[in-house]
Amino acid sequence: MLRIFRIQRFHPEKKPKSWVDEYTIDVDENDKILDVLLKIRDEIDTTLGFRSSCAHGVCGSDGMMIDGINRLACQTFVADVPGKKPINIAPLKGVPVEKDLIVEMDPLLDKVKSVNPWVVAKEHNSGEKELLMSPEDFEKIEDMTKCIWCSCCTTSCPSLWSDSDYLGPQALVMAARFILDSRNEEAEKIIEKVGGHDGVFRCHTIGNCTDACPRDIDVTGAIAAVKKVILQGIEKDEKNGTIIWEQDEEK
Amino acid sequence: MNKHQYDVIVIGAGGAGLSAVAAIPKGLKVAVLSKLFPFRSHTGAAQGGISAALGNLEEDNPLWHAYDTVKGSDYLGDQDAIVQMCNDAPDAIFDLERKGLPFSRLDNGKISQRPFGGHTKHWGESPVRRACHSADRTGHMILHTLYQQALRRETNFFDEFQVVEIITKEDSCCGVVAVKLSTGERHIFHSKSVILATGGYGRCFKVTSNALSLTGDGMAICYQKGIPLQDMEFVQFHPTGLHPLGILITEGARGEGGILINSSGERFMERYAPSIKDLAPRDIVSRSIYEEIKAGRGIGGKDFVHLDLTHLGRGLLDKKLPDVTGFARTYLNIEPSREPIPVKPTTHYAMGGIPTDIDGRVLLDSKGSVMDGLFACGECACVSVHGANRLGTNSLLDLVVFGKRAGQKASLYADSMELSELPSDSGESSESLLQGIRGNSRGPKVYEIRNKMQEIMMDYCSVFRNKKGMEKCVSLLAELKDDFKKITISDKSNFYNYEMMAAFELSCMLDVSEATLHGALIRKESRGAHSREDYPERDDKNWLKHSLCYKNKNENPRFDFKSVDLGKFEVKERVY
Repeated sequence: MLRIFRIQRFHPEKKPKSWVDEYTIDVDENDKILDVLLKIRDEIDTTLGFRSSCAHGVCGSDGMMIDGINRLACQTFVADVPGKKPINIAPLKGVPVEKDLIVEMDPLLDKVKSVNPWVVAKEHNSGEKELLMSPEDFEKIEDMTKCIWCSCCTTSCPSLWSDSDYLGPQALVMAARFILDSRNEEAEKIIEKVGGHDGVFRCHTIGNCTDACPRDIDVTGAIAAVKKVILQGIEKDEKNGTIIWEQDEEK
Repeated sequence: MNKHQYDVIVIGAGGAGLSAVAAIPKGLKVAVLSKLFPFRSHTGAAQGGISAALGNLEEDNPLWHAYDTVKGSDYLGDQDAIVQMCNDAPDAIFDLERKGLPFSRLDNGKISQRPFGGHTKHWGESPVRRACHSADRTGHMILHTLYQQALRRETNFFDEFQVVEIITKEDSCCGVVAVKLSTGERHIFHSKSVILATGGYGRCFKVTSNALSLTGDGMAICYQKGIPLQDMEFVQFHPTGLHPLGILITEGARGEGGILINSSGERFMERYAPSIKDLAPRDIVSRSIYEEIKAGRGIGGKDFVHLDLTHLGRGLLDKKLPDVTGFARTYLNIEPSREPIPVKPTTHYAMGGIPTDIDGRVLLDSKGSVMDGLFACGECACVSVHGANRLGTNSLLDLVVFGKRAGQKASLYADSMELSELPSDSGESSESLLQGIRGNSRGPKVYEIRNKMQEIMMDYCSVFRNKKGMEKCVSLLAELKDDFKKITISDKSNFYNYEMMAAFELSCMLDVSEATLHGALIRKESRGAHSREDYPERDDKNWLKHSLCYKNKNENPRFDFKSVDLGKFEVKERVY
């Protein structure tokens, strides 16, 4: 069947402003949007700019706005935009566009890096070669560790659109993941970084981020967990120094 | 041309490259080049686990791990390297854990382990739980953990830089040429040591679990400079690619109790591998699936079988296999807790690659001459620990163990010497290739040649091979290489020119396809993943040896052979 794809283009060497190109393509409803983009770039317009790599939702390269929603092109199907209407494809919003569907990554990465997204290992349970971690402690962070840094969440956040200094959901999910990791010696440093002016309290629980996450991470929940740790004051488990965070019952 | 000087440069920022980075002392000046962003690398797609004989659930032993790996390799793996890897494995796991890797846990807080294909206890007696994992996202966690630690070390990354040439001077390497994707500018990275960690080349084949970026670049740029490629005929086809897309469904699914069934509902692996059944190594399972299909027992008479997970229950699937069951839902609209998943073999892993010793030093010939200053690790390298067939989980282990060793050795090398002067022709060969592509005005497009190459490699050089088919493939591939000389691109800009990069990647794929195809044609036996219909038996007398494939300008490649390191485990018939 024929579907119309309306793709936002930008090429600063050609035109100062973005424009929209329309392509009518013979597709199957089970085709991935990425397949369609690859077909256009291969066969119709080789200058079309977009990133891609794994093509099955684990590398996070091809986050973009498809029919108004941030998602991965390799996980979105023609059938996901039902009917006959044109399928609009645009770059992620809220960060500068470099070319077509390619956005600048530095502003996004700088925010993630600023929260110290890494573990500084504690040496509290010697005697075993691994740092022991209970299945419960693993489960606390498991959801957040799925993050593939696609930035679909951060670029869907109205709070970020209106204030580009806000750290945004992606950086805050990483913050939560490393604050709540029972092995991390330097969780408190992260709390300091995200408790401030541009941190978690900028989140107004709008929830676009959670809806946008292709990995189904409870993004708003992760941010709320950090808020809770800060508001309740830092309490630590006597045994292993882990920051205590009781998950809400309904979660 | 922009010039940079470093002590060590690392090409590729997946698990191998980042493991190397972690092993480089802080005093050295290091740059990491990736054609992607590091956290997009394909290590992130590895699912099921990374093996080490930790014995967290039952008795285990690094020597059993080594025995399994040797047997899994169909005795082509070098036994010294395999023993090294399996002995280093437990510490490699603890090191990753300490770097913050969130492994799934047992009730006692230790790392969880599960069974995987070909991993056994008591020298092949029965499956053993050896694969350490983080649900079914182990590679993602390794990649991200190593990248996070690289950020912590304030590593110097050059993201979206495509390396197009290694700069060599006699038998040493003194840097690389790279193109910055966003500007098209060429950069020379002049260094004492170069570590290649560029991954595999699954995209030479039509159906693959590999990312679009896996085009054999690192191997091809070595091959272009006269460095041989080793054992390229051995390409792993993973038995359970999602039909028809080829997306990987981890062997861990069978490790957790999943079974393969044919059209009559039979658990057919019981016939092919009576002792370990569905957990037989991948070459055996892939061939068995093809045999079932050939015998008309594919599902509905078609070219796939079923992977049945329905008896495992939704709870276990959600906890242990959340991602792969998600792929079945997303891509096929199938609920794996209620319906079986259609699967067929998918091109997955290159056992062959750039020959190295156990310290990652690149070797130039069968005598073991070293290319000074050049190192390789991970899938692009051939140590060889995987021989003719890799066991599941051993790729992740390979890249952390040998990535680290390459990083250490490259650092020592850089410490011991001064920067050597760049040769006057630095960058000329890649410049002439890229200029040639840019200059053509009428000829085939990148995708036309690429699609044909992927089809012929899949048709004639995949799970089963024979002389007639491969000879046909040789002439078709030669035609495609001729076509490539006239290849035409329409994007003449320097600004994010993906078409130019795709053309370069295609040149790499044509080279590594050539090495694979000719290696497969010349090896007149069946061993591991290389299965010749016209030579169905393993032939230790003539073929228990590694192949080295050298580029031969405008002619078929030239071959040499080198011996396999043996002596620790007896070469036997391989039955499971």
